[in-house]
Amino acid sequence: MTPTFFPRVALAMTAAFAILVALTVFTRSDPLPLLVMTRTNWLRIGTLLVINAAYLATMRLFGFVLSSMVLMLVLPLLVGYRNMFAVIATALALPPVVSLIFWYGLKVALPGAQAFELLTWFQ
Amino acid sequence: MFEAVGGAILHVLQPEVLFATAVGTIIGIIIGALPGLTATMGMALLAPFTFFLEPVVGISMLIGLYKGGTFGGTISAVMIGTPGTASNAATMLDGYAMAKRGEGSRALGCSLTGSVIGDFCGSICLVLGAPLLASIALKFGSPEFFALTVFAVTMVCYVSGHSLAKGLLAAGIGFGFALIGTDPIGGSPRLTFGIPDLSAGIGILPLAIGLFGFTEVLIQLEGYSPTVDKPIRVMGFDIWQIARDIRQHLRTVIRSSLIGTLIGALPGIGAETSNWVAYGMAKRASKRPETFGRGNIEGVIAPEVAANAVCGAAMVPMLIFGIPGDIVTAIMMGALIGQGLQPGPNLISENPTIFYALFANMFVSMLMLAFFGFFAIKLAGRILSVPRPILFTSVAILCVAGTYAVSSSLFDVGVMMAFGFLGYAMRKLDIPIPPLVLAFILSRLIEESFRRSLIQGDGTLWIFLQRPIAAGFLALTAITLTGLLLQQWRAWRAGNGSVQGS
Repeated sequence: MTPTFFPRVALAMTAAFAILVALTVFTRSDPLPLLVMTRTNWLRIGTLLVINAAYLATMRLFGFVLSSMVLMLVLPLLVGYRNMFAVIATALALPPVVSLIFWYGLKVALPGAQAFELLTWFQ
Repeated sequence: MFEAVGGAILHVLQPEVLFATAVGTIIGIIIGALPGLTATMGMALLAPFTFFLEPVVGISMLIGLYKGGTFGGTISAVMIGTPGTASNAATMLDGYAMAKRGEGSRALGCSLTGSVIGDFCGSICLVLGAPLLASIALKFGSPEFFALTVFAVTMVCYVSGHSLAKGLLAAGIGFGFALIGTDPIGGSPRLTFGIPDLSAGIGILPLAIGLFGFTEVLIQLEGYSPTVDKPIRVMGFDIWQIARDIRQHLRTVIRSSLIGTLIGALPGIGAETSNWVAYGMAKRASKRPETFGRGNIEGVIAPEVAANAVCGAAMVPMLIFGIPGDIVTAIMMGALIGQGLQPGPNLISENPTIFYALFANMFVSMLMLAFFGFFAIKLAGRILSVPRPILFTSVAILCVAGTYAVSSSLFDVGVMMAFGFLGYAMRKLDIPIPPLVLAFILSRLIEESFRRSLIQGDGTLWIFLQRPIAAGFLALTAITLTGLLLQQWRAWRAGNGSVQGS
């Protein structure tokens, strides 16, 4: 038996049941959750996708703490939460606390800011 | 053996283990109580932390979280009519009705007492059943393991959602992702697409954190609206009233304990099923079934006892066969493997102290649940008032930090996020996630045992029919599949061609 046997089985199984599920969509008595999404929902999930991709991309440059602070400021505001004090307090407190817990408690260094290392290199 | 048991008890009573169990239980209760946060998500988030602890300390924390999370969901089910976890969905029907007429404290008190009793029964099942099954499991060869894992995956597909096809589709996706990495027999790279980071395969924790943690973050943030569910105020409860309730419904307690224990011990099915089965049985056996759903205390006790009885029993197939009893134990199994412990028939002989320490911890965490559950009921209002956007953004940060901690790899963080979006798409397409995770975990065992069986049987499939246990499990799988297909066909015909989707 070759190593490709099981990947083929998995692919065939996925394809066969995907077709079957797709065919039964039209026989449902209640609408698929995807089909009842409003424009706002689509906009929100699209923005969440972009923001999370940017968060991941910038984490190497600005580090876990800074990029997480920005994420924690942006996400609650994006979904319409307006208690600014709670948002700012959590954004400023949580990422450093998490980073310290990981460092002192588990001896794990979360991604640091390479941008600052680059600055010291230029000096 | 007695030496190992004694050593295990001493191990579990050490301050660091007791502290870890207490922390796990408290986190579990809080996570379970918050709608949207589940014991499964908590387990996925906390598992990376346990890698840096001693095995017994880490696993004790996860056991505490499992039990706390299973009970915690009752708090929101009773106080705001939204079950914190799927295992408390049936409790909501009568618990919320009781809370609305001012009996919330009685419902929560009975639910806590029922949870502790159910938990005790499940733990007894684990202690008595595991060593017995281990001796049987040692006789299992590759054909038996293959047949048992196929049966487990089928059972998960059977209970996840209304559609078998969707369950099998999810299982197919899970198999596909699990095959990325290296061929287990030949050692050649497979499905890596030239990406070096994929050569070791996809880890269970990035996958689980993504599918259960990050997906929930996306679902909650995408659907958030500023209206807040106001919790119903709960006053202090009368212990004697609760004792009277439990004594009066002792039959329900015993029946539900048995249901929970039996369902938990079956590979692949967990508390999500047991609470509904116990609720249905209690209603059927009741002299006043019409009062169910309107605030009958039996409707609270039955599902809670059954849901918590699953906890101990679900660990039996995970520890003995390496096949998780439900999705929470599947992630716990990932944590055990991360600690260098391979669940399976040899665990008891290779690591007796750790094995018996797990047993002893089941009872310690049960006492912790009783203690902290009491305070959680009193503080329930505060737990439920955390604003959701703040809560779920914090969960997103913890998902990232937890994933990064496992392998110090941003690639894994990206994988976790990708699984988060995949989970979101699956939820929107009404495709169940548990079969994907279980198939992912069991894929290696299925492939290895199948290929080894073929080598053993000189390339023929007859070997599966020549071995009675393997043939028995394959027959059970065929019966389950046929029964379900017939059931769905009848339902489809009765509904004039329409299928209930959710």
